[in-house]
Amino acid sequence: MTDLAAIEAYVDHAASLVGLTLTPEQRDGVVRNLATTFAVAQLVLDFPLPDDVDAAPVFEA
Amino acid sequence: MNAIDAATIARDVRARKTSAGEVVTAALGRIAARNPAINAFTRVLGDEALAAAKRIDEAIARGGDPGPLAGVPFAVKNLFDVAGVVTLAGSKIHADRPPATRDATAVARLRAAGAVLVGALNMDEYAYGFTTENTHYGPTRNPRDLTRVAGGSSGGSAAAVAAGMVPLALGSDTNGSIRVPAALCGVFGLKPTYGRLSRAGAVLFASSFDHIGPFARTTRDLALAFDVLQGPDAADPVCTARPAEPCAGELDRGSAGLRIAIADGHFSTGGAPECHDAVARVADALAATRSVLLPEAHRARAAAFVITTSEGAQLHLESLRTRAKDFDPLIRDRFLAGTLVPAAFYARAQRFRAWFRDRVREVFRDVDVLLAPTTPWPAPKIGQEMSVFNGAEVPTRPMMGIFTQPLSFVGLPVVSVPVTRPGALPVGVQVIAAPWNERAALRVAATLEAAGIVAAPAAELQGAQG
Repeated sequence: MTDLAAIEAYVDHAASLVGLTLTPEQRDGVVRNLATTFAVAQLVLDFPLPDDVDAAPVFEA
Repeated sequence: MNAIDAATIARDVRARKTSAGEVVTAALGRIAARNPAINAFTRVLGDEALAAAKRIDEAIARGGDPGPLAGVPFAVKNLFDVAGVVTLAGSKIHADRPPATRDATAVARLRAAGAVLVGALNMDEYAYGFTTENTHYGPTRNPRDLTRVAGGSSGGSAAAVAAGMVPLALGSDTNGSIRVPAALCGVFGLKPTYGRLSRAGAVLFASSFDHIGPFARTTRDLALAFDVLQGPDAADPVCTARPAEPCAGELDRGSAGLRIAIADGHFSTGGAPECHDAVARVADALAATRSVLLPEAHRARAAAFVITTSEGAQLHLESLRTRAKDFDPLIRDRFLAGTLVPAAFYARAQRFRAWFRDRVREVFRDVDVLLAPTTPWPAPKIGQEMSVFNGAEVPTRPMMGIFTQPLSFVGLPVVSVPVTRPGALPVGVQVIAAPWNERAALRVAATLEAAGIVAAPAAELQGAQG
């Protein structure tokens, strides 16, 4: 589980870098939602996916 | 006039037993009587619908055939383009845009088959929700119990059909947005194979998972609409070049010869017992005794979550930068957070999708159809923040998709069938088939309907006339 303070620090820095201006209320909501996303993403990151599994976009003439 | 199914309407209109004008007038009357309590429609196109019905009746009078859906009233989730109408996609932001100049492909195909568009339907903003509690346009209420949500994000579509206002509606499904409201409102909903139906002219949400599909009160109507909607479309880059595979003529074949199993593991536990009991009833009716596992389905759901939030956020990035305050507060912070998801998480989730697709493909070597609950609970109350799942309090809204997300993640075709429970709220069961085998899912749905296990009668509304 990612530390909430780390999520807060990440949001405070990253939001302005992607051009967002967050109100205090929005900032709290973003921290809460991003904490959830990091926790959920960990389920995917923890899975030992072989390197040769490719998302493989296919282009045909 | 009572709510009648689409197949009967089309048959009677073509046989001149009734007219499209009469049918559409009756539908508009039902909408006027019932919609104020339900709030499914955000726009009713009364004059346009009556004019279209007149053209159909004139064509029939001249000896012409207006098509297999002659005179059938239908309505569409308000993310579909309708020529002359502003495409809201549930948002306030899009309300500032000019009207669409042409119909979405799906709308055009239904109209070309003789169906008559009567209006546009409420949804979660930009389709990012499972409850249609839209802050800008109000919640859509469940016709089976007006204190409860209709489900989402195609809540207006399911509610309009369940209330008997129209026999047919279109919605979209990214993580469950056709199947969840179909289950909660007690109607049939089809999410076809990813890429089967053109999405051109529909506002996308997370393109990797976006599908469109129909809602109806009978399997036959669902198949009729699906057949009309099929076919290649160069305007949607993911739409298949495969020829259409009509299903309506296959429904009477029953389920004989189909290998049917219950989805185990992730899909077999949690939520209200009645949702799992419904799966058992359906399995009994089909004499299905096997259980099979879709491995790592919980991680499939997690990967779908990461991809959805990332793709949705990039689509709306400019609005999030300049007018975040105009988003629905129920949706806004999830979109904002989605702009900050590390790209490595997204890319890993897409690679996991390929792995999961291959495991699912292996499962479908031995079975043709899988059964799973559609939602973990019957319709929650409007505004209900928390519910119980496996003994723990969990947020209600995001959990509504726990059983639908792993399946749309790999594009499987699914019919959500409404299991009959007299005197109780409806629950849905997902009838899941291998990619491109909608026919199998529809045949099983028709078998269950013929056996009386599933049905979608129009809801009786207290105090509603007409």
